Amino acid sequence: MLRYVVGRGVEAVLVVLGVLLLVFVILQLTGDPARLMLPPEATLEDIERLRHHMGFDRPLPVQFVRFLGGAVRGDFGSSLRYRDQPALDVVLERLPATFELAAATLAWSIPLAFLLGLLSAVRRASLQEGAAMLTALLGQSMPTFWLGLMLILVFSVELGWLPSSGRGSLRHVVLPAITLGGFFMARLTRLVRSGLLDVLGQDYVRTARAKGLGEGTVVARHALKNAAIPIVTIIGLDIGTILGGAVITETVFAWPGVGRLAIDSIAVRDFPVVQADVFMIAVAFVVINLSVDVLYTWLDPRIRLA
Amino acid sequence: MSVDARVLPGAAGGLARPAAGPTARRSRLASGGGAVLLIVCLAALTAPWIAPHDPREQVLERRLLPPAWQVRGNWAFPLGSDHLGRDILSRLIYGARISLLVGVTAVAISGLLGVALGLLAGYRGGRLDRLVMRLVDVQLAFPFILLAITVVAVLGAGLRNVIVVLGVAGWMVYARVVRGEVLAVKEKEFVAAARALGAPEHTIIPRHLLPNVMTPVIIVGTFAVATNIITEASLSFLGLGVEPSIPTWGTMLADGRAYIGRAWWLTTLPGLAILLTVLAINVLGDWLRDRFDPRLRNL
Amino acid sequence: MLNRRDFLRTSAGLAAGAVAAGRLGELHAAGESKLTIAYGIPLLTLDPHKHDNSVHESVLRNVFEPLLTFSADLQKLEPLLCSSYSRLNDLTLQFKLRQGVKFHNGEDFDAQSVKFTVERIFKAETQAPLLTTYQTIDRVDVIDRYTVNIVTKKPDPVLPRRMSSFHMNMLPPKYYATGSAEELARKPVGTGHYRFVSWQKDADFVMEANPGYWGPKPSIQKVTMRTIRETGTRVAALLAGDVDIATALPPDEIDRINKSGKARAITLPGNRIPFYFLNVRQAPFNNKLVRQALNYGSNMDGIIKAVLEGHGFRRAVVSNPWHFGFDPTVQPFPYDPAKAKALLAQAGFSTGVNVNMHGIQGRYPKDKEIAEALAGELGKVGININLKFWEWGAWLEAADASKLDGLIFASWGNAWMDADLTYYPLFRSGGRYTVKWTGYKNADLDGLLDEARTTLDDGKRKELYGKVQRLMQDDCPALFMHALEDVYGVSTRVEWKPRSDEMVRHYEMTLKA
Repeated sequence: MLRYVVGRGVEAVLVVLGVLLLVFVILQLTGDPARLMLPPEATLEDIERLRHHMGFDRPLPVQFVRFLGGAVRGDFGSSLRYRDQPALDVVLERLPATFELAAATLAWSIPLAFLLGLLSAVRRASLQEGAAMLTALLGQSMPTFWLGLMLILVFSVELGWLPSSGRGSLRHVVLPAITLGGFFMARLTRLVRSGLLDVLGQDYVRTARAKGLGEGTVVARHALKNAAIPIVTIIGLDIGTILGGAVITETVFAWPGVGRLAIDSIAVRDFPVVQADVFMIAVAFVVINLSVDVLYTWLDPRIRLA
Repeated sequence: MSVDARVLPGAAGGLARPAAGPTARRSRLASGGGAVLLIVCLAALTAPWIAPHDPREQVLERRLLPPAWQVRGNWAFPLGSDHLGRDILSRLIYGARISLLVGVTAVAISGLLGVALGLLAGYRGGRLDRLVMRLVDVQLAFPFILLAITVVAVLGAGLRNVIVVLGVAGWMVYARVVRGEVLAVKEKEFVAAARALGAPEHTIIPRHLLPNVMTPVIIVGTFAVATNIITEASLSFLGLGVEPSIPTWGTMLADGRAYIGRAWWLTTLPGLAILLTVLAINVLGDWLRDRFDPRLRNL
Repeated sequence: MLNRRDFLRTSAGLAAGAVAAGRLGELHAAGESKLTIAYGIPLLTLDPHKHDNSVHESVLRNVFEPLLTFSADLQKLEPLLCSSYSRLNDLTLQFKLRQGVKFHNGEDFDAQSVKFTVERIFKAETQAPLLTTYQTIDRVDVIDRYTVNIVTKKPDPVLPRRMSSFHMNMLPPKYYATGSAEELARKPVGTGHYRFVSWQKDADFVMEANPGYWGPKPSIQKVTMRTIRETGTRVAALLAGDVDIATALPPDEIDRINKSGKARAITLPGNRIPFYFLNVRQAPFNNKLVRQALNYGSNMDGIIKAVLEGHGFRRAVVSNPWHFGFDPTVQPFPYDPAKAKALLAQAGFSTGVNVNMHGIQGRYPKDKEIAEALAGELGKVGININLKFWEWGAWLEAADASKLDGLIFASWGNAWMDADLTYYPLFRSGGRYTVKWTGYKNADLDGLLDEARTTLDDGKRKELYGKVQRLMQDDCPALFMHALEDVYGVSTRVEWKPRSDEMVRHYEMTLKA
């Protein structure tokens, strides 16, 4: 078990390094930040002066080595947009907001997905199944930002029940969490349902039923644990998306998370922050997947040997 | 490796279950979806003939007309006009073209890339396999939206580049699925026989392996068309999408956003168009999958 | 990697945030007068020498003060931290400083503060973004504790205006000389009506009334500045009562706000003027007739009426009426499609001509819609536009690399209200825009501009700029458009009159009982 974890750990580090290289290269392709750090009044000499001062005119390999050397120490340099403030700090300051939104999203979507999936798997050919599956289908077919805008229109502007933007009290996170979780919940519902269906038909479940165990025990003890495997995988993959890619939701609701930070930073070529941001997201993604892998071996020992 | 086993329990040795459940109802739903999709495709194909107006024709005097059945409406513009006086219905019809074009072309690109890499990784195994799978991991860990913005920043926005971004961002699923299939099929007798007879790799792969992997690829691809349509709309919403002169449902939504309080039809109608089309595709995809390869239920 | 130091800092930040929230709650309960304002872009730094942006200036001007400031009608400069100023000779302005003024940290304001502030602009580690604006300054001489001389390299008629904003907000020498760059970016210390309380990036910036202010105290005790990017969400926050003032709103929201009963929309002509540069290196814009045809056929008035619903101000060239040097006798081009077509035919393009139009979107209200509308209107007179939208960074890069042909979008806001700071950088040959973007070179214009910027006689300068504007209309180096209208959403409980220079002065506001 230990060797497995260590092995996966090493792979995880390689993945993060790969991401760092990728982001560095891609950013270099987007052009030079000095131009965007100056106002329209700036002359070409001003731009050149700034570029030299920041070291952007040094050869690429030199810049990359400086970048990598700093990155492994947690030093991504100063943000170009938030002048003089460490890039990593700029990202870290956004993390609490991202975590809050992610937690709120998962808090409602996972239980609801399990409930709906369970209902529809267990009560076949019924009204509940139809309703549950329709909800799930709709959830997966709707653009996130549209859902967000409609929610604001109804609950903020027309009814005035909930705030339309920003982060503050618990009320502020309701609409963003619903918006962000819609697609995810829908997908998860379908997965729970199909996973359960798969498992409910299998031999050992039939045996359990034959032995006279109640439906509830059958479902709870056997079906769920095994159906959990692919579900845990998808949660793992989607958590990465939720943490890093909730850009659209963050845009619509002005939620100060890391996703929106990445977009804004690219728009002004704030390389240090983009690099720090992508790094954090990659680390989060990799850590979560590692945990999922470990959890997976606990759920199904056969896999450990694969 | 372990991730693929997770995703395809069938490949790891479990039983592939045939679709249980009310197949009759599922088929009816699927035919409903198929019908909607057919309508959308027909609209896309026949756009120049059935659209009542030129989708780009702007007449500032007749901007923001509501749909015909409302007070200020006008039956010459059945679904109303946008902020530049352009006919919504015509733009919806032409928009179907682009949405489908983007969706399908991007899938073709991802599919090509992913299938090729998956085939090679699965068949050759060893280092190549591990490299491809690490590439998959790296790209999965890289937030899509960043990739999209950076491509736009470097290459500019526009139809071609949106398709490129969507294509390049989506290959991972196909690679994994195909690789899993190849691993499962590789040791089967007919492949071993072909190898024993000395058939070279470039015959084995297309002739024996490819046909077997196409089914899951088509199913995954179907769902991917749906996601691509939504993603294009999202990119346009962020200002990274297709150029403004080309009507797409996504740009219509982005344009209409500023008028959401007073011209609901600018956002609601294209949103509904996306919703219905994507719904139809998803329903169809569900049916295809249940019918041909239920193991993919977990994707 | 996420190390302990950062984790602890984040947790401490969370804890501090919770405590601060609690404290704010207490203050609110105590009945303190407060106001919240929402802007559309975030604050990036609180150091006046590190930004070039009017939103930052608007917020920070409540905390800092310069020597001079513009009157409400933007026509005159009034003494603020100086009590008077006079010109000693062609190169020297002498300022008599206000006495008894203290910075928020207790340091005294005097000639040393002025010297320190000006010299810091030129230091290499500052990398002041607006350095170019102040480069006419040669040095600062301290005459006595409350008298300074500012000496320029050449006669500079614009110097007093340069002293009124941005990098000329006065700084306390000890604090800004000893603090680390990071601290100075987060904690501002000035002489203003308000002093700094707290700042959470992209969340709230809070300031409170300065009890030691040298003049009349503001009536609003506490001001919170918040960033809400989406205009729809900003308006929603205003109507829901979450914020009291929302800035930079699009004109379509005016009705909704006025009908709400909770707030009113205040509109006034804005300082920013968008326009399109014309790349005159290639056909067809190398031909003056085509450039004129463009201006006759643009139907700008129609577009302002339809797309902006009247919320825009047609401008003859690139100046606003309150800019020094503005000539009211120069009229905007009339809409004359027949004349446009005739000019095109005369230039040899009777069957029409194809050009590229490079725009950006999402930076100004309706920028995209206006570009689309323009393209449509110009098409009707035979100028067929291929409209391309660029991402801002890529657009700057391409333009500076001379890769953009045809029409190139630009927008200019002149914070110093002087024609020199508009026409010189944009159209004088040898500068960034004329060398890289447009290739425009007009010797007559160059002569007029050079003379106007070193003449100290106001009357003479006005005459010269009048000639400049007439020349602009004849030679048409650009497609002239309009000035944006600034729309503010203001809660009914706030009494306030906005300014056309985008400066929101919280100390000029009162709350209705």
